Amino acid sequence: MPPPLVEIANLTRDFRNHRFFGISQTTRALDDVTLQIDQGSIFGIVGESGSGKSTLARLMVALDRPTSGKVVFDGEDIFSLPAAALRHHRRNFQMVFQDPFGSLDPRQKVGRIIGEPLHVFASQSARGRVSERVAAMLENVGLPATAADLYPHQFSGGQRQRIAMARALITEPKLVVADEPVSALDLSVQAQILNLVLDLRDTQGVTFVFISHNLAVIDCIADKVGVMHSGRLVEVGPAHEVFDQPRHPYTHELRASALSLDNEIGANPVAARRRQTPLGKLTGGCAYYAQCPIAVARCSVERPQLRPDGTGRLVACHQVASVTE
Amino acid sequence: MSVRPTVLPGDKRTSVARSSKLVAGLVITGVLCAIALVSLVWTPLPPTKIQIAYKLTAPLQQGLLGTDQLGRDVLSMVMVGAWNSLSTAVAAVAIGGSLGTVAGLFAAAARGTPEALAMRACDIVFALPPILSAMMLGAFLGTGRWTAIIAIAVFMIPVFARVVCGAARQIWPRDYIQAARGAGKGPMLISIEHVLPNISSQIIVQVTIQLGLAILTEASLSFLGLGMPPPSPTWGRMLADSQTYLAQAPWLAVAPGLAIALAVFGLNMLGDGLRDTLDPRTPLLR
Repeated sequence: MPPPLVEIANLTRDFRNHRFFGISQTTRALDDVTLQIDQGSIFGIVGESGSGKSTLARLMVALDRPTSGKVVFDGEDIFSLPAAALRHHRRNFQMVFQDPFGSLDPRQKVGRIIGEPLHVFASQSARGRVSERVAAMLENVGLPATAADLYPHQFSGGQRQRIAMARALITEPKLVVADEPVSALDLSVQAQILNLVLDLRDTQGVTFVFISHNLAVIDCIADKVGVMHSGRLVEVGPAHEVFDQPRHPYTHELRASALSLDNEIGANPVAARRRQTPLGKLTGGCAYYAQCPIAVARCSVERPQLRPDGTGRLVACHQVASVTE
Repeated sequence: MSVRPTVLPGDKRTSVARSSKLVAGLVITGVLCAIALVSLVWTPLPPTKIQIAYKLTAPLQQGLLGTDQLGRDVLSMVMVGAWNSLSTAVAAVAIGGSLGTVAGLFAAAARGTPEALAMRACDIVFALPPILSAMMLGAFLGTGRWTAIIAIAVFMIPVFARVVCGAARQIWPRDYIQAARGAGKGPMLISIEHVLPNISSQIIVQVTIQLGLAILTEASLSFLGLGMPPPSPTWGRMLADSQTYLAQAPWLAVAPGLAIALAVFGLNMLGDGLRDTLDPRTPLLR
């Protein structure tokens, strides 16, 4: 088996809010996350707002620096690389953003937007063929080559997300991190983009990290899934299994609170009992303790680590044995 | 329940109000520029031609706007004054605006300590009284066109630095900037290729407004004798000279006074109109 493409080890990111007189408060957005992503897989990340999904995404493509921990991409620790080497390395990992209206520069034509990474990365000799490659890439994502001469505002949301996808793919990256790429789109357009992602994985072998708060979307395309809560991974495993038979009480709650035709709004006992806890507070126990229906005394003092549960999954819960359907 | 009508950018009611400002600004500024340019090749009389026999003649009796205490043609002087004040203002805004824009882009890209230092430096310049500083500068450099240009430009730098920094800071968190970083671009390239084009409308508006203010400052400086030296006529000095003859020859004050007021009014209208047309949401920082 080939080594994993991305190895994330003990990744932690603190954000500091400066207040008056130098008093500052630290929010831990990402807490000791360890994770491996296999070559050619689609790895889904789910979790509620503020659970650290986007922070993890930004760190994976080095748009932010961690407080501690490391990201090893294809055998290289990207945060220990010198700035110039990191810049050159960026061609191997690209990002697709959530908002297709904010991620394209309104003052540039589509051809220029998509070709942009090539202008930075490509050698002088290769630059002449930029327009050909842009045209080919536009066709790859299902847009006509003539789109290159138009401005972003002349496209719909779904088309713009295709353009964003084309920009991410033009450097032939090994990894594309997509942060909620379909959340801003209509359902029918969502399906088209998801099919495009599956297609690109199959034809070009691109590894995807796909972030969403929508479990159905992840279930539909991801091979493996990581469930995040309060900056930590609480459960990792094959997508279908995790959603079919959650082993962590939080995954259970997520699944139960997902809107679907079968679930009635308000019928979820867990959500009804839920209370707000201070976000990112650095306490000793399990972050889910306050909401957990099966918590025991141990959960309030000892933080559960992500451990194999014996069925090929990783779960961070002391009470994993007592989670039942 | 009634649906509240929303005013859309293309809506007639707003676009008429907006375009009337813009048109008024364009017309007044256009006429001003035309007069300034014409004065380079033609004036009714040479503005420095002294005709003592016709001194202090009322408008229409001798020339369209009368003559001054030395019998010089006021219309010709106002026309050349238009060129003098416009060229000084344009040079000052070009120098101050470009330096300020670079400083603002840099501050927004660097954030943290460099930004704080740049903004505090702006505060210091804002705290200095411009006219007094210009007088000091005049004492060092001697009076003249360049003294006025530098004195005005120095005070334009912090204005542009602040406006540009504020606008650029709103652009930096956008996803397309993040995407550019992901494409391997450094902060300088991002500032030039992405930030600057996206704040250009704010800069254009600011340039227009500041041109008006620069004309006003130039007039004040030459009123105090710190502008271009005689015999080249300026609006400010014409006003200063007219004080002595205010009772006998009020037209001497009215002509340059109206010229200054109209020029500033026109540029302000143009700035407001441009702001409304180019970016309807951003409030203007003056």
